[in-house]
Amino acid sequence: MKKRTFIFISIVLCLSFSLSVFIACGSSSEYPDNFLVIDESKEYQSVTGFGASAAWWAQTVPQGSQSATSLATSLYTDEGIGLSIYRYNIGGGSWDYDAYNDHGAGDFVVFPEYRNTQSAFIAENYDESKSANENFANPANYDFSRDANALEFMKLCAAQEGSTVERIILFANSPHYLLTASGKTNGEEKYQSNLPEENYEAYCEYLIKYLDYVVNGLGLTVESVSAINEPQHAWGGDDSSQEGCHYEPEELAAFYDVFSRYLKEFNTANGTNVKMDVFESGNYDVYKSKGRVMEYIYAMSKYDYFEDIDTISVHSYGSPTSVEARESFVYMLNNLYGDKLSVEMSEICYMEAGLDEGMTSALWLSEVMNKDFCNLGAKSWSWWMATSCDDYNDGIVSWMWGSENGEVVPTKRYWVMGNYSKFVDTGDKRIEGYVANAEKGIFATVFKKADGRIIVVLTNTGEEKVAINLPEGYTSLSAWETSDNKDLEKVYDGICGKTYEAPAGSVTTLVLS
Amino acid sequence: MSRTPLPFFLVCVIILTYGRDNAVRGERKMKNVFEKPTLLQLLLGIAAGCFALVAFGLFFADAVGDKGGDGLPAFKIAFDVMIDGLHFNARAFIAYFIPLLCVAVVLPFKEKKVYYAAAFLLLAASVAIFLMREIYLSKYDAEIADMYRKGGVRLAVPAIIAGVFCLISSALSLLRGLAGVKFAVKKEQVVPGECTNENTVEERQ
Repeated sequence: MKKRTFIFISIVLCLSFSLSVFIACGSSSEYPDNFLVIDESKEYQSVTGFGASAAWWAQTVPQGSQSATSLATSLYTDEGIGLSIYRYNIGGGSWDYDAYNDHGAGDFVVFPEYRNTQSAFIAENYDESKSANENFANPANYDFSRDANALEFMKLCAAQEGSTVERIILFANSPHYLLTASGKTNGEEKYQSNLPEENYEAYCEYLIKYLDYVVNGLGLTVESVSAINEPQHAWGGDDSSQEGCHYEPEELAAFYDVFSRYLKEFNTANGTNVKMDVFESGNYDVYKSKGRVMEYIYAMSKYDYFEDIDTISVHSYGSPTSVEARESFVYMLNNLYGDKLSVEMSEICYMEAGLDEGMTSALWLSEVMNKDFCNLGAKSWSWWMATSCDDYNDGIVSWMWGSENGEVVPTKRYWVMGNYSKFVDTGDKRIEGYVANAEKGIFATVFKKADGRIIVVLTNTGEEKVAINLPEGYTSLSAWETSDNKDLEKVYDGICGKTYEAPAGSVTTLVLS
Repeated sequence: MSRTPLPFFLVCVIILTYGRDNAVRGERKMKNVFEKPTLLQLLLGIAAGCFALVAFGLFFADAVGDKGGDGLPAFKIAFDVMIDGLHFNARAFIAYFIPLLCVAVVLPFKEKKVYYAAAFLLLAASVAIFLMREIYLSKYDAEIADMYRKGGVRLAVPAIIAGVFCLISSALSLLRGLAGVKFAVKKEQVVPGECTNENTVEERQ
C-alpha cells in the first residue's frame, strides 16, 4: 500500500512538472526566436524630443569661431544628429571666485574654468545696504555679456539654417552664490539646504532676469525654466566639485510656490507660456533612502501650482539599467496621481573615466534609452553635456574647450543617440514593439511616425550577429547602423525581407513602411 | 524508535572545545547539555533549523516591494543609509536575527524548554516579518508613510516566504520539543481499605 502511494504521488508530481514545462514553453512559442513584434494598435507616449546640456562648455565656445559652427551643425541640424532640446545653464557665478579649480577633482581637471560658471549678475555691484531681493531685482546689476559665449552659441544653434532646436530649457544647478547660506555654489556641509527662505524671491528675480534676456534680448522662445536640479543630493562638503544645491522636499515645494507666481507674472507681461520644469530629480528610485523622489512630488502636491504641472523631469542616474526601478516609480506615480503626470528624462551620462572610443558606452546609452522610453515612459530624452574636453565620458562629442578651430570628434554615443534622434521626430508615438524570444542583449524600441512609417531602433549588445525575424506587412526597409566600423551609416535600402541581421555590438535603425 | 549514534558534529564540538586529551571529560560535560536524539527528533531538529536558516537567508532578499517590481532588501531596512548617516532599525534586524539564532534547534538539547523557547521566538519573528512593511515605514512621518502605503508599497514575496518559514520552523521546533516526551498516563487508583476479593472475605468468615 505504501509503495503504491509513493508511485501515485511520483506520477502526479511528474505530470505536474511536465504540464508546467509545457505551459511555460507554450507561452513563449507564440513567436519564433528573435522575432520582432510590432503592434501598431498599441500606442504609448508621444515623443517630445532629444537633447543635451550646454552647461560648462558652451561658455568657452568662441563667438563666430569655426568651432561654434561645427558644434552647432553637429548637434542641432540634420547634417548632424538633429537634437531638438537645448538646455542652457544659468550659472551660479562660481567663475567669480574660481570655486572648482582643481577643487576635489584632482587630475581630472584640465581647465581652470572646467566646472565654474559665469553669471550675468555683477557681484561687484551688490549693495549691502539693500536686501538681496532689491539687488537681484535691479536690471542695472546684470551684464549678460559676461556669459556671451554661451548665450550667443544658444542663439546660433536655434537660429542657424536648418536648425532642429524646438525647445529651449533654462536650467540652474545652484542659486547665485550671493544668495546661498554658504556664500558658495555648493553647501558648506553635505545635505545643507543652501537657499535660505528669505532669498527665494531674490533667486526668482535672478532666474526671471535670465528668462527676460533670452526671450526679449535674444528673441528666442523658451519652453521652461528649471530652477532646481537633483535636490536630493548632498551638494556640499569638502569634495564638492560642481555647482549644486540641496533642498528638502518642503523647501523645494515652497520655493516653487514663489517661483510659479513670478513665472505667471512674466508670462502675463510678455504674452509667453513659459513653464516651470520640475524638478530634475537625481533619480527615480522609490526605495533607496536617498532617492526620495516621491517625497518631493508629494510635497509639491499640497500647493495650488501642482494643478498646472503635468510633467516630472527625472535623471536616470540612480539605477540606469533597472527595469524594476523605473516601473516601480511609474506604478507609484499612477497610484497616487493617476495619469496626471508624464515623465521626461532630462539627464544622464556615462560616468566612467577614460575616453571610450568603442561601442561599450554607446550600447549602454542605447539600453538606457530603450528602458527610459519603454519602462519609464519618458517623452523626451536628454544627455548631460553635449561635449567633453578630456578623459571622461560625459559628452557625446569630444572638443577641446575654448578652441577656435578645435576638431569636433563624435563618439559612438553621439552616433547611437542619432540612431534615435535623427529618425524619431516630435509627435511620433512610441508603440508596442519588442523582440520576442530574444537572445540576451537584443532589444528594440519602436516608434510610429505620423506618415505611418515604423522606426525600430534595434540593439544587439552581444558578441555574435543575430538574425532578427521581421513581421509581415511591410514592403520596404532601410537600415542605418552604428557599430565598431560604422557611424550611423546607411547599410540597406530595399525590399523588406523576412529577416534582418543585427551585427554584434551594434545599434541599427530600421525604417519600415 | 531506533536510537541514532551520537552525531558526528557533537564529537567534533567536544574535540574542538576540549582537545583530544580532554575529549572524554568534555564529552561527559556535553552530555549534561545534549542527549542522543532519536531519528525523529534529529529529523525534526534539522527541518526546523533549515527553515529557520532559509528565513534568515531571506534577510538579503526584498522585504518590501510593489507591483512595479522594485523593492528593498531587509538588510537595507535594518541598516539604512540615510541623509544624516547610518540608521539601525533594530526591529528589522531582530526579526531576521531570531531565525538565525534558532538554527540551534538542530542540536540535540537535553532540555526541551530550549525548543519551546525557539518555537515562541520563531513565532514572534514571523509576526515581525509579516509586519515588515510597517517596520520599514516607521522611519517616515505618518503622512509620508501613508503616501507610500497609498503608492502601493507592500510586503514583498520573499518576506512572506520568510514569515511562513518562520512559522513552519516554529511548529517543527515545538514538535521537536514534544517528540520523545513520555506523557504520564493516569491509571485508575485502587482505593485501599475495603477488600472486594470474595475469597478473602470468605476466608475471613
